[in-house]
Amino acid sequence: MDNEELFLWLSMSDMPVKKLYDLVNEFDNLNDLCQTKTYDYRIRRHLTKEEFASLLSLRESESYKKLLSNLPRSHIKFVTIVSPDYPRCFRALEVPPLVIYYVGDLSLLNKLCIAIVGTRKCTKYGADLTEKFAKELAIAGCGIVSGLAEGIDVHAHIGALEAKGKTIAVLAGGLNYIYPASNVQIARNIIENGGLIISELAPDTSPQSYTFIQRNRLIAAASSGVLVTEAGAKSGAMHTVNFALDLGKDIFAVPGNVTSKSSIGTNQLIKQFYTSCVTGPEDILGIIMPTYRKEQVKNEIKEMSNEEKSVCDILQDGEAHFDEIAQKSQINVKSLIGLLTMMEIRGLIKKLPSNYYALEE
Amino acid sequence: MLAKVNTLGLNGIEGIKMVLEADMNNGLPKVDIVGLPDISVKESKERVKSAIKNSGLKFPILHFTINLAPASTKKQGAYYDLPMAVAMLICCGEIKNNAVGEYTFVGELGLNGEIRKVMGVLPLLITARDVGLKKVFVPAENAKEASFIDGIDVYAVKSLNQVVDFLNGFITLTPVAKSTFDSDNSEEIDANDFCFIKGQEKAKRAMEISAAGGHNIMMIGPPGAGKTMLAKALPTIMSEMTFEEALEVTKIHSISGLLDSEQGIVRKRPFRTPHHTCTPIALTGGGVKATAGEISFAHNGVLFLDELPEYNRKTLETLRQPLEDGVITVARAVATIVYPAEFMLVTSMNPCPCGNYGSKTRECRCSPAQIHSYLQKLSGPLMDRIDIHVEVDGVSYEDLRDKKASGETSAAVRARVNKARQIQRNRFADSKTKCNAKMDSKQVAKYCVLDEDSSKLLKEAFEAFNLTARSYNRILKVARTIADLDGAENIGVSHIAEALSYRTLDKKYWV
Repeated sequence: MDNEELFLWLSMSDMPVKKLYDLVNEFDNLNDLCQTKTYDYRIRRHLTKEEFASLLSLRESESYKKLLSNLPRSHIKFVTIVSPDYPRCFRALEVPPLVIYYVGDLSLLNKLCIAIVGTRKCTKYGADLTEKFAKELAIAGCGIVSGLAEGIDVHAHIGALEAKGKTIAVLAGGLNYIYPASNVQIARNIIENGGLIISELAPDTSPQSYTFIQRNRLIAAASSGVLVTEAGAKSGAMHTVNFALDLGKDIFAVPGNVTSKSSIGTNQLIKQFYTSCVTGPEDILGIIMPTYRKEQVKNEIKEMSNEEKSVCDILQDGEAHFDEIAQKSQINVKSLIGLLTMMEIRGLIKKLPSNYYALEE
Repeated sequence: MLAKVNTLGLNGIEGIKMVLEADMNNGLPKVDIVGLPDISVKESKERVKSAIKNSGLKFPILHFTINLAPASTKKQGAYYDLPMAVAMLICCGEIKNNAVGEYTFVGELGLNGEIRKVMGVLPLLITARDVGLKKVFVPAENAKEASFIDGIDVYAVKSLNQVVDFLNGFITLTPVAKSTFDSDNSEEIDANDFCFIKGQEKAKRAMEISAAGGHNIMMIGPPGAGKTMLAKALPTIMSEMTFEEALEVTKIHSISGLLDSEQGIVRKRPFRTPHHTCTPIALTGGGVKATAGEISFAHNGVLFLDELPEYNRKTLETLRQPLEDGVITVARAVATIVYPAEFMLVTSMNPCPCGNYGSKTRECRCSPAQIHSYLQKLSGPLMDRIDIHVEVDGVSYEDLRDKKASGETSAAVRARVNKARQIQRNRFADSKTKCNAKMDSKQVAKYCVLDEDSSKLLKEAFEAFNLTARSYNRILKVARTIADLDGAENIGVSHIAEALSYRTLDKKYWV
């Protein structure tokens, strides 16, 4: 057993990683730990007899052997804490993962990344904002880190992919367990786009409730700042924020409607750290990439008819309901329905649920 | 002694001419009924016995054999009480009339001798007229219904004594005066009139289009947005029923006992709202007696399914075939009956299980998975038959207070709808198709020709909105109707653009 195998073995155990580190540190020569069969004093200091027995049996177990035999042939690669490629950002953690399993380009972790996290039950507001932030940040060259969960997470990945940007998904389970399964296609797209998917758990491990929280510390560690676009009062995103604060990372939060339950968490963050308040991607870029200048895209001035202009004028103040547009513009209903659809096709406006319309940015 | 009288029976929605024979013999006092009677017919001998006795007539203590011909058809219902009583009274000499064969009798008897109303008098009389029966006795309560059939003398009678006295020549009866049909176009404004609906301009326009082209429509909106109100207003803007249409509707309503005996005929287009716990049989018809279901009651009218995803999926799937064919064949052991079922399907649903998705005022607490599974309940093939999707949104209190109702009455909208319908009648003069919604693909290719600009727009829209191929024909059909409402010969860019806005569900606004 070489050192790499040693760590693979240890990573399969469900004991706290901290304990395993203490155990490893006890041995000057790691080979001793590889060979050990006796419950000697060095082990006795950290593990109970039962824990040691289960660790030993793990070494002989089918799942461990399967992992060893499958890994070389698999598309899943790994780095251990002792390998030179081990991502620097994770070493800063109090308890770095023993092994990182990954698919894709591991060097992304050394680049400038922003984590975008938030609630699983996102509203349309949260989803749209997340995609917008992810897209703009990805265009600027940031990697987008998130957890490939439903809600804000998946919209963060989608936004980054739309901009053909690099994005990193940190999974709560093993790499063979994409959860929820509906995101498998997105996972494929991430890899095709030169992104990265990582996990600290062996590929066939299913996610547990506590692994979601542990995963959040990796998200915080992998990025220079954490953006919360929408989070309820008790969102898992708050764990990520706490980890990020411990690591001294920047926190950003997007304000939401004060009456919206989905924005309680973000609004609370802004109350605590008023500097975290951001209203657009440029606010974040100004802090993490002060030298970045957005390429000025020349807006093609689209020719508009008088009717189209009057609709755009009405929408200038924000979204408006169909009836409101009809009333203000004095265009009759049947022409207006067609007109709005055509403007939508031309990309001038967008339709929102419940017959609301807004200008396309 | 033998007596023979004419009567009528029902088979599905069609009447059958029948002959009832009574034979009086010596023997144990008993009444035997033969000729495939069901329980309701067998029981009639008890009613007849008491009715005769309580009318002050003599009921002989002898053996009777009653035969209902044709013997091979199953008989059900209480239509045969009156003919049976008449036949028995002829046997025992209480009625002396040599010309009793000229008359036809239908009616249920009460124990006191009164004649009670029966279901399905209208189809019975149509059959009577068609087979050449001239004089028919019907219960007085069915008189109004009977008055709409020309070419036949109908006597409305209240009691058995009245019939006996007439046949014996003691009194004379005048046939029921004929009523003329006038569809419901009274100036009186209905409670469901369009002019009472505030705001909802887009939804109202969609209603107008669906009424004009016979398009099935789906309304999507939060609870309390006014979906039901809009649906109820739909029959008020649909073109008036012709007499033939009204007769078809009345037939079904008559055999099912839904007919208002004061009115006698259905003047308004039916509006049926089966509850979402409704079973497939209740919807399509069936059961032991192969009775008609909701879709047939909604014939020539509107079938409104509120909260569509709440319906049992199996129930909804049964709608697919009738939506295509306009008829439903109900096959049961007793009979195989073809009921007409040409209805407009109007459905409504919430955008998500809690109903608040996309709302500006209330918050949606549904997870994406919940919303997904909610929408998943609607099968593709059913959704394929719904041409128009329109969003209906909540009206806030301020709107209700400030906004004056648009002012346009149903009558004004109906005038436009009628015009568009006339164009369609001319277009489909030599085919079976009645409206744009029912065009087959050949007709779509023939009547929905696009100019260069329109097809370019449609192509752009398909890319911009990510539309599915199956919506292509729907959009063309709806565009055809919009053009008809405009009085335009050809489909133009504005028509296509408007038609495109009624494909909400294709555009995947939902997560």
